Amino acid sequence: MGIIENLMIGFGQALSPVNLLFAFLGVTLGSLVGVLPGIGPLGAMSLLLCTTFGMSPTHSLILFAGIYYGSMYGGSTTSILLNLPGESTSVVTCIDGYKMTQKGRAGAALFIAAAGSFGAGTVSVLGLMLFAPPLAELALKFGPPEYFCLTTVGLMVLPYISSGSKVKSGLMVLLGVMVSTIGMDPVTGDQRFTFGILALSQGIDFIPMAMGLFGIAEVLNVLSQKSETGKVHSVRLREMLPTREEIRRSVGPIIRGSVIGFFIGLIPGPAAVVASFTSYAMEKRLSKHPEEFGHGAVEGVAGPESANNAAAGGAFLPLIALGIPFAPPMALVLAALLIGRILPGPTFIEDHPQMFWTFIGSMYIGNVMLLLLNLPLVGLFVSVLRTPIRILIPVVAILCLTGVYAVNSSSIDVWVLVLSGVGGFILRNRGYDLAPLVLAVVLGPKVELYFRQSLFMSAGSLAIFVERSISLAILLIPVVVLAATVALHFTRKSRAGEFKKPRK
Amino acid sequence: MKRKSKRVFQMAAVAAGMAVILTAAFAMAADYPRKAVTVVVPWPAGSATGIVGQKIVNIIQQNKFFPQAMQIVYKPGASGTIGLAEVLQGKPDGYTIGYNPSAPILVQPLVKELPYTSQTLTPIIQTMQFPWLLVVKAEAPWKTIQEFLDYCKKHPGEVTVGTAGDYTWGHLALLQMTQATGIKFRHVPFQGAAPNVTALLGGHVQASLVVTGDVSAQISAGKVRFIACVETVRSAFAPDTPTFKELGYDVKGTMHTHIVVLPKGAAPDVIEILHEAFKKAIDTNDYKEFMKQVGGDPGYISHKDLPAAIAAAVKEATRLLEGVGTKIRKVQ
Repeated sequence: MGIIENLMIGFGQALSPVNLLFAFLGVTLGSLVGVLPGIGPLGAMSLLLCTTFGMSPTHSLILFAGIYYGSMYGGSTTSILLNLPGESTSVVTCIDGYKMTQKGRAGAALFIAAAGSFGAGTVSVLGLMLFAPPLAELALKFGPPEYFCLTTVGLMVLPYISSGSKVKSGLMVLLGVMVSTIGMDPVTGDQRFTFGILALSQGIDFIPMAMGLFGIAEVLNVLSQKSETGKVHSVRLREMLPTREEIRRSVGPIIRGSVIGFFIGLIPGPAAVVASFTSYAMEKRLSKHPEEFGHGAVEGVAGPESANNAAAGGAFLPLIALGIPFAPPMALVLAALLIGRILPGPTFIEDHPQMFWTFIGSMYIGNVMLLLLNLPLVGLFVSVLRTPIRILIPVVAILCLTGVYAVNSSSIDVWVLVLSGVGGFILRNRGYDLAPLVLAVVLGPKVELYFRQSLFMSAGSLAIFVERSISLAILLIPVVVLAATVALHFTRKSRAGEFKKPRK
Repeated sequence: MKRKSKRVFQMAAVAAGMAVILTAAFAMAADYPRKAVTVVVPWPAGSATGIVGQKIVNIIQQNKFFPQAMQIVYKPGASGTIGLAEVLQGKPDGYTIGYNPSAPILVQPLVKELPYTSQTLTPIIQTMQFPWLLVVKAEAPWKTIQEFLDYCKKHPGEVTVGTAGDYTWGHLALLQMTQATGIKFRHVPFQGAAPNVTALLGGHVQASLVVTGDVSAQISAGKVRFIACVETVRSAFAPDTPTFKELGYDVKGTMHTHIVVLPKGAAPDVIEILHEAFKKAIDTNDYKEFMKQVGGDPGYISHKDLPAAIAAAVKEATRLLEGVGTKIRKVQ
């Protein structure tokens, strides 16, 4: 049966009233948990898992998938409006998104984020549909050495995404990696820097730290300023929609972000986060106005938002094509399917073609629903900004405090929130960029884990990273990029007749 | 006449009063459970333990095997020790119980400082067990375990075997293999079953130690095959796979099971009531069907026999770990 025919049947099924209802429920819940700081798709899915007993597995799949990619849409809302990342995947969106809000372009930012997310959702559905089995085989070729090279290159890219001093950002990356060592050793489980507190052996959780560094620090920042700057007085319709120029500049980032995000989503671990800042770094590199990044460049919103949505779609591929969950939310989708007596595996598509195609159809319909949900709500969201600062700031603080406790019911998390808030406030005032810090906390443990696993595989020999072709190729990327930069710089300078020492 | 009826009335009143008091006394003794019980699962909701725990509680609720409501709370972290520590540091009144895999109870206290040990808890029932099997990719050149072991003998310390982590039962199974056969393998610990299976499929490790549930989809798709069972009896899911014991190697087997626990010092009737509820649940057909789905073998052990089983498993784990030079803490 041809793909088109299968797709038509899938759409037909997905448009049935019950399936539509589940899709709508899923995406609405997903958007909600994405917007609310603290609780995320993982929490929502865990809570709902017990309701999947007795549900048909197709319905559970549609519901949970909707929650997952819906949360990617919702996560950007608070990042853009309040500099509060709802999810780890929306941290990068804070950088330029909040700046756009401060310039009065909040509506445009939200609009572009929603449009980009929709474009990415479409790309990932296409990818899932057409390339699932061969891409799954490709994903399998990546092992610990390859993951190590990817995450290390990722760490090296991090200082580059900030607009300030590269040295200061490098310092933040180091600090982030140091913080990430608190807790259990990823291999042996030995306690590191926990000072005997059992709750600390979990490590410093990303969510409280990000909410502290961005949300609470911003609260403190606003409090420290005497004047009421940053309040949007009135929002006219013209300001809510993106200008033609902004739309034009977003098309490229959206396409590139979607493709990059989808491929990165195939890799286990924090794929969506990596996708978001990879896209940011790429857009900054390709832009004709790189100095705008960090001050409200629309590409800095369009690219990462598309990338994280595409990565969410890509994350389904290993589950559907191999039956293996590569990220914790996928493990919950797997659990829901298991409860419905379906065991996804390499033969899932052949054994349950109806479920697969209905899922594909429903994913696309879900993305349309999200677009229709989010676009009209842009006006509503932006009007949140009209709240006087003296009411908005305490509400944000309370949301952060309760949201953080809601995740794990752990008082350590609240301490982390408050301490990172204070720390973040001080660091920002000194000109340190916080995004590299928090992203390094996510990547750091992975770098260590994959390095050690690779050495287990090679019995201690470092040669393993260059003996394997994919791993070697990834390691060479920064070398190639650096060489190209230097070469380009020299040719430009020699054409201009001057010779200057190349900047990094 | 009046005096007699008054007498009768008084006697009736006394009798009624005594009846009320006696009933109240019985009610006091049998008043567990008076409210809902919380079942703490120290793993994420989507994990194997999470799903099985959820299923059992569901069955109990649906069939009313337990007179009050039971609700599940997930408290993941630190390989199951955080949630378990919370349960075991509470009151042994039977209103907060733990549903966990055995590793945090049996193995972790031997190597980590924890606020509990396998001796400071009351085991209620063991609900399921998971046999450990050695798997290889379908295209691997070794058709039997003997071929595999011969190859490993010729390449000592080179053949990579993946497990779901250090100090998991998979790791202990590998140690058993090493001690029984005298062959050195190259252990690659992953964080959990999923990366372990992925690495095997991608050819990054040459063999893996798994439980059936980890690979059932891959087995039916023909991507991997079982090559040996590191237990003393064959697994119901791999009836053609020989055990190490059959092959003449002395292995004691693992004890990867799910156990329901209470803090130490619980009252006997609390234990009985909980035991009954869970026993009835695991005897249902619903549960048996479900076990096949997740690849678990029946593994019922009652609260009377569990302490001995636990002590034996702890002894074996101590022996294995000390054999590779790990410092073991005393389990009081």
